[in-house]
Parts: sequence; structure tokens; C-alpha cells
Amino acid sequence: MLKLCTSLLFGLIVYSNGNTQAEIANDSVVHLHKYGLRTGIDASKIARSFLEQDYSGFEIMADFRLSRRIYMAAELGFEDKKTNENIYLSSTAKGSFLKAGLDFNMYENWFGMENLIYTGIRVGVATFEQTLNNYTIYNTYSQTWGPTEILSSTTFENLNTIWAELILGLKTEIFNNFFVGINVQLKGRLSETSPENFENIYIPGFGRTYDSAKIGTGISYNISYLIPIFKKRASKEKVLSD
Amino acid sequence: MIKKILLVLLILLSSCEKDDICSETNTTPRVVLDFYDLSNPAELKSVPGLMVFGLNDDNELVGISNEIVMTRNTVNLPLRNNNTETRFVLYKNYELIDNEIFGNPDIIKLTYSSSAIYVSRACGYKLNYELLTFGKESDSDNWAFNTEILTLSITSESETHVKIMH
Repeated sequence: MLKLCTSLLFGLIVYSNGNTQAEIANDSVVHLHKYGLRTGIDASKIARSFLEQDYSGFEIMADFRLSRRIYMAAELGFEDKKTNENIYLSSTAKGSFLKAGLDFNMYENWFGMENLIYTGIRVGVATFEQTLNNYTIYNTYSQTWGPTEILSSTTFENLNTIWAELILGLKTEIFNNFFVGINVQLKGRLSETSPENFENIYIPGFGRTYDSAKIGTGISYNISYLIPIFKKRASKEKVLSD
Repeated sequence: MIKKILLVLLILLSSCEKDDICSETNTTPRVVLDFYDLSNPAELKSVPGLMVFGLNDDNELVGISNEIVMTRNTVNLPLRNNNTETRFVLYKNYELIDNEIFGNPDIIKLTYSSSAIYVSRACGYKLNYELLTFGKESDSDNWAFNTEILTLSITSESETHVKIMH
């Protein structure tokens, strides 16, 4: 996973470096920025659905450019993940999530380019159910009478979680209006409903939880297409002169 | 710029480590029996050569892990979790000579209800018990005369649950 991530990252960097031959801009050339709705999917969730037996997930995303640097962005998705934490506990979380927020492009594009290196903020909401599949009672003295496994499953419904998220990512236009991107997410749970006498082991959209902290992490490899709606003159942008 | 971002990405990715270690103090508790002096019930009194076995449904002795013959005034015993009662044989002056047990056995029986308590994602669930009855079976030569339940809830091993006077 990490290998795939870094090689794709390097690929993006090599690509963006190789693409920096500046077109010489004359003052007479009007530099227009594309504005529109970019829609995409998270390819990593699709890949994991095929590769991992205990996972299925899907995520669509969209962003809309508000100004030269700021984009309104949202993700909507579904995840079904079985977690076999150790021999003691097996659970499955299933549900959908919605994230909404803003992306801020930090990248100074060369003339005519529309790439992004961005930071984003999101508020995420997940509604899901969690099934406690089976568990073995934790008992360090079980040698005498044997271990106790509880095989009957219990489903906890109507669970939800709200979290805040920080995003760092890249989006590169590889063909006209066609983008590939990667981003990493750092999340913090703000509020949640936990099942009684249990806890949220995995939260759709948020990922796995930790005993020690309310944080979570995520990664997304996305493929997106920009539906151009209008073009706007780059008024404040520096124009290269010869 | 890109190098800095790459660095931050890698730091974020490598920070996803397992933090799940279950400490043994969170385990399912055993029942704690303390032995007191019959003539002076406030005073602990050791049982000479005490050795305890579990007793299964076929009345066979079941060895308890880490249990050894020892003169002592307290013993911790694991309860059966797939059953609501557990019987133990408490031997006083236990001796094993040529595969034959010598000593004075007394049989005790505990009945209880149990409930699974969620601990953490590392430990999963442990059991807590609610003691319903504690009794000893009468035989011709009981050494344990009297029993007293001190607390019905068995939630930790740091307190005594049952007092046995002898």
C-alpha cells in the first residue's frame, strides 16, 4: 500500500516537473482559469474492495471552484469493514458517510496549468451499524476450564460519529480536464454515539479507532474529471513578460 | 515545496501503529477465598498443606494452573465460564503418595451469574460474576466449618469474596 502510494507520488512529481516548460506569455494572451464542477471517485476504496476479503467501500467526490485558490469540496461514500482485532474480538462496521468543506490551493501554477497542491478542511458525518460477530472472553486463567467463546452476534444500529479532518494532497491534470490525485487525512472525533458495553472499532469514512486517542488517519487516491462551466480571467495573477 | 509535502505525507503514513496492548490486570477475576480462625473470626488462619482442585461434572479432579500444595490463608480460584456453577475440592494436609491422595477433602460449590464487560479493543471482553450461593457439601469429617459471603460482586481480585472459618 505504502509502496503504491509513494510510487504514485513520485510519478506525480516527475510528471509535474517534466511539464514545467513555460509557455511564453505575451501580454496580449489572456490567461483564463477554468471554473467548474470536478467529480471523481476514490480508486483506493475500489481496489481494496477487490483485494481485501473483509472490506468493501466506495466513495465519490466533487469540488467546485469558488475563487482562484478556494474550492468547495465534498465526499460521499459507503464502507463495510470487518475487523478481526485479535483472537479476542471480531466486529463488522457498515454504513455511509458525508464529508464537506473547503480546499485551498497552495500551488502557484505556470501559465495554462490547473494543478493543485492543497490543504483542505472537512467536517465528516457517518451513520452506521456495528456488529459484534464473536469474541473470546479475556481470561488469563482459562487453562483450567478452557477458553470461553461467545459466537452469537449482536448488531448495534443507529450509531453516528462527527469528526473534523485536515487534508493534504495533490491533484494533477494528466489529460485535458482529467485529474489524478492523492491525499492524506488526519481526523479527530468530535462526537459519537458508542454502542452500549462496546465501542466503535471502525467508523465508515473515519477509519479505525484507537484506544489511546480520538484521532484517525486516511488516504485517498482519486481520479476525477472537471466539467468546465465557465472561464474566468486571472486578474491578480502575475503575467510572465519577456 | 513538493519535497516538504512528501515528507509530511510519509510522516503521517508511518504514524499508524498498533497501540493495542492488553494489560493482565484487565482479565476476568478469580474468586478470592480467605481462611479465618473459627474461634476468632477476625483472625486469618492458615490451612496446613492446602491444595485445591476443580471438580467437573463427572466428579473428576481438574488441576488448577499454578496451584501447588502450600500452607496459606488465601486462595484464588478460576470459575467455569460455560456453566453457572463450579465445584472445588479443598484438601487440608494434602499429600500424594504412590499416586494416592491423602488428606482431608472438603467440597465447596459456588453458583453465580456472569456478565461480559467490554474492556478495550485490545482486551475485548472480560467476565464479572454475581455470586448467588456459596456452600460446602457435608461429609463425615469437614474441616471447613463455616462460610460467609463478604461480597456478592466478583469484579476484581483485590478484595476477598468469601470467608471460610476453620
